[in-house]
Amino acid sequence: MNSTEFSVDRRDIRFVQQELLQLAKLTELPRFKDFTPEDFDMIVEEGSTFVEEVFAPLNKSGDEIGARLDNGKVTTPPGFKEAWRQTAEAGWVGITSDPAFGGQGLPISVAVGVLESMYGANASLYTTAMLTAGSAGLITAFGDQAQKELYARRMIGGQWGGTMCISEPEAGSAVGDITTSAVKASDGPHYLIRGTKCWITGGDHDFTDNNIHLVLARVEGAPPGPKGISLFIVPKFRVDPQGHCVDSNDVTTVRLEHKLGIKASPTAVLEFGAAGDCHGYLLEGENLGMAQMFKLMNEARLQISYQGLGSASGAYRNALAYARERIQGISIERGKDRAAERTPIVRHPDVLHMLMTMKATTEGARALIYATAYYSDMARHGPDDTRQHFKDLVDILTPVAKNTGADQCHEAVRLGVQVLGGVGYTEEFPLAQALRDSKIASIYEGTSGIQALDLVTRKLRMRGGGLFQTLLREIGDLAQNQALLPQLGQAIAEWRDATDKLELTVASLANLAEELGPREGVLNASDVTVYFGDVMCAYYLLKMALIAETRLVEMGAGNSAASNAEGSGLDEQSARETARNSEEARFFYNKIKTAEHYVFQILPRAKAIAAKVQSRNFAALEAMMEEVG
Amino acid sequence: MNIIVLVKSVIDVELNIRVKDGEVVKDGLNYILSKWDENALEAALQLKEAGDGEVTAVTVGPDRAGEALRKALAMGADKGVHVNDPAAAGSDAFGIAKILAKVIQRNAFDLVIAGRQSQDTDLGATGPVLAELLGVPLAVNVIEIDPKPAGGKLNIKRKGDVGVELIEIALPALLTANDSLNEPRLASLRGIMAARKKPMDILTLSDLGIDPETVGAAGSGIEIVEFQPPPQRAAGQKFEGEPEEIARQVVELLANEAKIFA
Repeated sequence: MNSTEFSVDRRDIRFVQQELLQLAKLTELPRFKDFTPEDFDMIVEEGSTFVEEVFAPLNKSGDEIGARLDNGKVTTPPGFKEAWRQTAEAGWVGITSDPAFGGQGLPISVAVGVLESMYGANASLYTTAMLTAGSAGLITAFGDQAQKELYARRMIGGQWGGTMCISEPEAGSAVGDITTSAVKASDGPHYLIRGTKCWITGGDHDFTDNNIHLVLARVEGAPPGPKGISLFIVPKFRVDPQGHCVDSNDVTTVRLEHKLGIKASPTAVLEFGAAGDCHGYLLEGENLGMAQMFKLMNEARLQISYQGLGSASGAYRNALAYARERIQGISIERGKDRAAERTPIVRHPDVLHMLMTMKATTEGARALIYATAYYSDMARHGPDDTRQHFKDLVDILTPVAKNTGADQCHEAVRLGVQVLGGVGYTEEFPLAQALRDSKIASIYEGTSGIQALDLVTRKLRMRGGGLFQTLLREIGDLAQNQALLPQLGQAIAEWRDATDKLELTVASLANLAEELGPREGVLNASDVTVYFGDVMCAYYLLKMALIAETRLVEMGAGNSAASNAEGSGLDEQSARETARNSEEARFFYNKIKTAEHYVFQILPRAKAIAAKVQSRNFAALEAMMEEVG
Repeated sequence: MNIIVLVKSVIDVELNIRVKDGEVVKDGLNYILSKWDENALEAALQLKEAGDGEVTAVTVGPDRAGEALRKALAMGADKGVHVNDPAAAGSDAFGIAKILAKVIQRNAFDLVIAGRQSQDTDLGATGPVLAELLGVPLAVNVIEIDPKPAGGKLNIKRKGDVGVELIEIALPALLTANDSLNEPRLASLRGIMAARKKPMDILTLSDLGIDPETVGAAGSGIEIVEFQPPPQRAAGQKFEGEPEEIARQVVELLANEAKIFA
């Protein structure tokens, strides 16, 4: 771990996967019975090494050079094409894809242990892989056998790329307004596609011979709005049944966007059918496009949370390493003693506060995101009678996890820049790029505002608030736990209080919507999503802290003479002493401190959010902001 | 070509290792495949890819040694043999070589490749002792292998005392790998998935017909009495002042104290 290179937080990932979530038990499910827990560990370990050796070294040069479009041809920065080849050949593109079509079929909750680092080490490179696997997943879910064999298999293997073409110049977040048209051809099973799509991640590149676009379009005569949208497979090059590219398919790359970050990821504007000769192949049936797209979108939203997480994790490790090596100033307790020895900045309280906020934010987000991924595995592959329970948890937590990964983790990266000070603001250290790159997470696959609306107006209202009640029952177990250390007990009580108030705040929002109208009901939707995320992160951090207490006791912490019916005699002093002895014990001790820091230094913002909602002040809605002049 | 690769699970020395009361603190230690063994395996895989044959990875060790073996299978070895017997614990190089010889002699082989030393003990003795027990020629510290054997011989280069030696070695033989021999491949996801279905033999000493008294701590000629942490590095010397003055002081120290110009 150093201040300039990306490194994977293997220890924390292992802790979340093995000790908090105990993913080994997934191998008891029929779907994962061919795996052993050792396979999972090895995949995450080797994947981490792959990321550090193949993804990370290209991140900076990729940012400097960027993807380019010259004479209609896209070139990615040097090394990217070779890295893609290695990633594809090693099988990482299809890490969670259907094994029937060449995928590796791993649980999402295991795969995230590698994917967060792919994002953190080189988001530009990974985005294309993510969209390729995601769009292939749509074909394996909704395509016919021939489409699965011809397209999905090659996409999962990384021989061809894949994209999702949703937005248009006049239809971004409002997907129902798209105008790209599809006309049934008179001379074959295909449709003729015509329209312009924008913000296409991996829209064109030099990684592969072909690029398979999944395009949302409106069939002639279809109903207006979201109900009249269909999904089409539109390859860049038409192919014969053996998969040879035989003909150009009238897909033109109009432009690449010049972006704030992820500059090596080609974000394209694509024109379909400029010459009236773009063939699209319908997926499943007409007018099913929105529902199909949301299958990808829900998975993609969770994936985007990995991006912020990976960036924050890398930034935290860089910032911590820097703070340990950078000597500056005198410890505050030495006062004005100018002769005092200069100290590493990691001793300054303000720097420590920032580092702990980064750590707590990152580790809380990691636990929330991995847990949501685990619920997703269980919703699909768990025992039949538990699937609805886990699906409810996934549905309600997906927007929360996405915003936590995108917004809170971005904030952690910002703190990383701050820890480094002046050099953090330069491109000499990776924090500046991480700050720029990670910003996108709050924008694509549904902005943070869209996630907040999804939570407040859909997920919290589904089945009369039933999903929320399921979640509250799920996390209610924490209050039953008895902490050994008194300050951890206080933290749990504080969390319990914040959780109770979250229920009240959610009820207040619903009341506002009912009494005053929908605008008032959603004015603080983003704030409440933050509150929700804080409660969840604190929940998992506290659970991890309880595990850490047990581990410390196993490692000899606690005063055995003080042992009594109440417990081990673990106290702060003996915990510290044990922590001095080994890196492993220090990991556990700091895990407890991380939970405390989150509960007492971050979670209190929930009170401010509750106050905003209680204020019933709607100045933002009342101000005359629409009128010109 | 039938190639045997010797692998060992060792403590990851990149992590901080602490010594307490003469013992290595085991909490939180990570075990990895010894890095010279990765070079040995890579060499075997390249030989196999250049011609044909089979690569068998062999290890002696407790349960966790199975992880090193699985990594070898994930990198591309065709099968694994794990001698897992508590009585083998505490073996010296001679004991380990005896066990390995029994494993290897069960079948015909063309080549045995080992790391030039293991990353934990840095002893470098197992390979040479094993060559003696197998009665095959030995070349240690190999830095290049011509992948095409000719007339039952392999052309190799090794780093010797006075330079690079070009050697023609008759097969079967035993080589130990220098880390400049190659760049070991990363274990791929496909490789890890394929490894799950590869055969792995788990053997005990009695399966090999070895008397437990002749190996392990019981049969060992050496005993590790105590571990001691390496001495703390002394604080460095700080120079202050004008660059010219600092340079003068540094040169003076290098010349008179470090005597690097002597």
